[in-house]
Amino acid sequence: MEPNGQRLRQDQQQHEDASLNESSTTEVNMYHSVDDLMRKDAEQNPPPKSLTQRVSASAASEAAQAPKPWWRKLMGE
Amino acid sequence: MGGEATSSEDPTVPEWPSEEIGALYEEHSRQVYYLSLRLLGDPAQAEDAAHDVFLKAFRKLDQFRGEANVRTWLYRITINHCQNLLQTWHRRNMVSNADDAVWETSPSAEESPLRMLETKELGVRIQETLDRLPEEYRLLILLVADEKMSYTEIGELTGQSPDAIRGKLHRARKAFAGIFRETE
Repeated sequence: MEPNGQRLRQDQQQHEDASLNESSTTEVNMYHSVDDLMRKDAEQNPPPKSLTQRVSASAASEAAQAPKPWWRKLMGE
Repeated sequence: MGGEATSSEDPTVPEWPSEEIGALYEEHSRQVYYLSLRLLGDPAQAEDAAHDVFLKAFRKLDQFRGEANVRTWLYRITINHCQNLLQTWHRRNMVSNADDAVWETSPSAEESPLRMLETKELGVRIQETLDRLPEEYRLLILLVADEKMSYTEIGELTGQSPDAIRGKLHRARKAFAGIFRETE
């Protein structure tokens, strides 16, 4: 029979392997995993509102400059 | 492109040339911006990159039809765009200071000053950790943070099998946790 300490160590190792991304770091543990930490980070960094305005303005500008397809010209649109 | 252009009296509500384009932006802008932010490490550059990515996507929307996953397609454009920018910057030796840049990110106004400080500190540490990871690991950590991305889709993006992704993610997460600890 193996010593309790060694078995405990093996159990701990298996647990680490199973969970893959566990860490002893306080912050990482607080978020449960590296993935959770990154998801939290993503939540805290939404795109600025100015991006929406810029993209919509640029898209509208490009759409206005785009040549009409031949069939629209033919139909007088 | 189908759908009518959106229209509103409110100047803060964006007017899109078509509903399809507006929907594409609304659904994916968070992920495209966040991936750009953490690949480039600079909020202003990330905003410019996300803007350019969506314009490229809108121009190629007709070519995209028929492909399986629009998120994967947008991520591919984002990764290529950011990698091109980084290569250009490195060539010019004009890499910006990522730490200073991340401090300029703005958490929501409702947060307390202490909470804002914690958020910024955490962001700085995450950026520093990502910057110190090998490029391949950095990308995997960022892609898998998107719960909508499967290992198969990440494999398609990075040209690897799902099993290879699984193994590399294990090492990438361990490396991330180890470096993150050092940033305390």
